[in-house]
Amino acid sequence: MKHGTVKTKDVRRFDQGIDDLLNTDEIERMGVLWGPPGTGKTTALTLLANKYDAVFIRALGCSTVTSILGDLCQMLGYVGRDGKRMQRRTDMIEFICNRLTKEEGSNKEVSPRPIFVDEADYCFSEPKIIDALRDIYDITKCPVILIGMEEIARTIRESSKFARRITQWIEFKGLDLEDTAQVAIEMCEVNILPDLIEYIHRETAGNIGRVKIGLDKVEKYARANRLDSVSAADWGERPLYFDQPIFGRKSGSRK
Amino acid sequence: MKGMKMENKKRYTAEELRRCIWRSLDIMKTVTVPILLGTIDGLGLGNARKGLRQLETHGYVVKKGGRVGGCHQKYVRAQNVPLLPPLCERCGEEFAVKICDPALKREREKEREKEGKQIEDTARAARELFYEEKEKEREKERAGRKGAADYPNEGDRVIPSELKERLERQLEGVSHDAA
Repeated sequence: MKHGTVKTKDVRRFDQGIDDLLNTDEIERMGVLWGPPGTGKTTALTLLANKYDAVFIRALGCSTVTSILGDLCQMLGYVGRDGKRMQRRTDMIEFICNRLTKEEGSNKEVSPRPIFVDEADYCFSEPKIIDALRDIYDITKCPVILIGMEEIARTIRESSKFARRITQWIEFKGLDLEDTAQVAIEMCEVNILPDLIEYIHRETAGNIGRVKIGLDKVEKYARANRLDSVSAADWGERPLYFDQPIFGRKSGSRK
Repeated sequence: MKGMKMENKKRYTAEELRRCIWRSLDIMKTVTVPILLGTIDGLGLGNARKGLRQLETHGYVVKKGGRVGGCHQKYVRAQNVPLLPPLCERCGEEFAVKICDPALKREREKEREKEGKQIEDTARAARELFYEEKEKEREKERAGRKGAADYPNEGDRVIPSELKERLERQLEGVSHDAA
């Protein structure tokens, strides 16, 4: 297998979304990214965080406004005495805004950097966190992108006050047949015929991790059998990946 | 060049590259070289290995588990620093330096302390000299003012010469009258 990231439709959409947030004037620069597990959110996030030099923070179940602001300060280079963070929230916001808008050591203006908040579902347990993020966005005009599971989009939709500010709604749906074919072409070093691609897509249900494991297996099979191309007939009924077991009812569990 | 296809690869400085590796480690927790190639756009295999090796030399990254046949070596963060500093905090040197020795840092600190002491001594000497000169100037000024004054100093009191003469004349007059 070759190494690299395939620009699937989801990744392209995410990239376009961030680009729009950064370069379109007079829009609310907030976005939300959601999707089920195994659709490549984290990989896409890492790729684009590196591309746009983003500030990345992760919300936790126990996160508070102070802890989120403290994390942001640390990510922007604040080193307190003995590793302690600032005492006042206003000081923290001032520091964050200063670092996001001006170059360190000089007063030169810098281009806005996106802020990625992973596991943003937890931010909605304390609405003040969202308010603080909104304040930062209002002052700095740096786009804030909230990343979470499927529930996050629903939660935001229910809060109409906050939903108005979100201009990019990006859903990660997983791989469709076209994406699976693209991954097979770009990553595999043997030729995989369309019928086998269709079979892999059907079996893996668009889960990118499973597709990768399946393609790796097919490639190893082709190498072992000295095949240049593999079809569904060659592959047969071999398993593509090892799925979760389905257990029957435990004997004696019900009397 | 004619007939050569130029790839539109992003070029990274060494520091940018290390920051990208550090960010990937922050988000993904565990990375391998293929993961880095996938998450840093336009990164080459050699540069990925080099960046990881530099971070490992300076104790920012450690290998996780043994290397199993067919699998790639995993790397995890060894220090909980949110933002990678431009210089190694342990040895005080750049990450490109192949040896990370804390003794080097101590030596550097001693040198800096020495330099600092020398600067302090020189500054103190210069300050003293300056004050001495000022004091001299003030003394000169004081002396100059005395010379220019019209009132000679007599004991504690200063009596103008004209007044002195008049007083003497008056005293003489009084003594004559008394006689």
